[in-house]
Amino acid sequence: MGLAAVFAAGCELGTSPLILDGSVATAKFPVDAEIPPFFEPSFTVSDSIDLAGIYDEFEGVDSVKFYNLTFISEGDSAALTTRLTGSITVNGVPFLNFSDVPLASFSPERSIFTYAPGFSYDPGGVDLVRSALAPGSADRTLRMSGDFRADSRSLHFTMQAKLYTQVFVSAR
Amino acid sequence: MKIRRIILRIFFFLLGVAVMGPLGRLSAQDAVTDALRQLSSDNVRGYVQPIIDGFGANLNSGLYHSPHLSEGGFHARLEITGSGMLITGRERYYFATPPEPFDRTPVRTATVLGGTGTTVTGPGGLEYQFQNGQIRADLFGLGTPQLTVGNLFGTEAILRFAVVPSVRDFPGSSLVGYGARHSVSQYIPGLPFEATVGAFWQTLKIGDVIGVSARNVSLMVGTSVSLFTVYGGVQHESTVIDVNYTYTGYGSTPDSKVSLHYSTDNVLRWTTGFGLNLIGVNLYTDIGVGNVTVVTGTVGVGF
Repeated sequence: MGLAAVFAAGCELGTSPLILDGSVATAKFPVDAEIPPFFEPSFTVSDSIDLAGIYDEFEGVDSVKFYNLTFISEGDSAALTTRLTGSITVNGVPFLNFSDVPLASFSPERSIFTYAPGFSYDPGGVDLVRSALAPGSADRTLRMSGDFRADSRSLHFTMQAKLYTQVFVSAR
Repeated sequence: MKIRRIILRIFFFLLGVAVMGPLGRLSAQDAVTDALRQLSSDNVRGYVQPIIDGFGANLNSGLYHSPHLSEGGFHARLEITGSGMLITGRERYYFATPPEPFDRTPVRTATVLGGTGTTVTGPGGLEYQFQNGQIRADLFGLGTPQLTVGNLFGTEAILRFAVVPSVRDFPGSSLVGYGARHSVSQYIPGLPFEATVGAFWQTLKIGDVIGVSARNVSLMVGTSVSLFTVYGGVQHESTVIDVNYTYTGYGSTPDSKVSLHYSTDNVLRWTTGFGLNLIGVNLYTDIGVGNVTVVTGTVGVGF
């Protein structure tokens, strides 16, 4: 090949582990209800995330670690003014806490690790997510469920929790 | 994803990264392309900038040697030039910005030519590690053929041309370069040295995905004693690399078009070298110092 004769003194390729972005794991909580006047404006949500797929995306995966978890609210402008009080658990462990938090706080997408008035996370829930991703973990399913009380009876919005991970692939 | 891997494999091959070796080593080159996927667009630039600079500097090297140009008389010379960017500490690190929710203060971390990527810590015990370097080398090289033909009124033409047909998964590629040098010392009688000015343009195409454009203007001076020539000069150069493809991997849509644009940070480079002029064979070696340092060796056959 006359175009390019290559030479590289002591060149080695791919000697360090690769760090790749895992596909975003998402839990979705659609809410679509009109609460009658004589009922308390409350609702429950639940969804599961199977994290095993992240390990299957690449060959030679050493470990997977998450570096961000976000929450996002989607709906029209009226829906986003709805204020929520309640909590989300993961595998029964307290995780996310909402105290009179407007949905607009999470529109656009916002990390749970950045401050929002009335919102907090439980370190125990974070540790559970971390352990579910750890190598050799027996249970890679996150079962998230939430109980909320709203300040509105017209509830038409979707909430999502998104998990962002780094996949560490061994050097070739 | 397969198409992207192949195209980017070609890209880095012609940047001097790939080696003609067994499939195992060619597969290792996927590590470089996979490494890019982890980075945001701004961080990608910092991560690969040393290779971009090295490729541009190599492509713009070896164009000019002896500044001697007679006013007339035919000569032609076929040359093979090998250029290599020296990889120092400067090429191994850059400053990257961590993603949210981490502190957005830029941190020093490895380029594709560096070592281990830096790990930053954040709230809730979170950690984020930047991409590790994927190429361990002390020299980053490129070789090209060129033809010089002259002289007409103290002017010499320089041509680079090579065509590689498509082979299996590799698209066809072509390199076309043209330029000229002109003697300015012919206008200044009694000048104790010879001086030329030159300009050169190059275009490298790989399929319809990758396009490289390089430009070089120079001022060279030097003198010859017996078989030996010493020369030096300054050149202003630029290289632009465009990559355009349609992403077909996970999460793609029919309109998942990707357009990447890179330009080198090399602008001004100072060169000094010497040559040995034998009958029908010329040997030159020089070093160019600028944002990066490039050593060049040239073998020319002709008259």
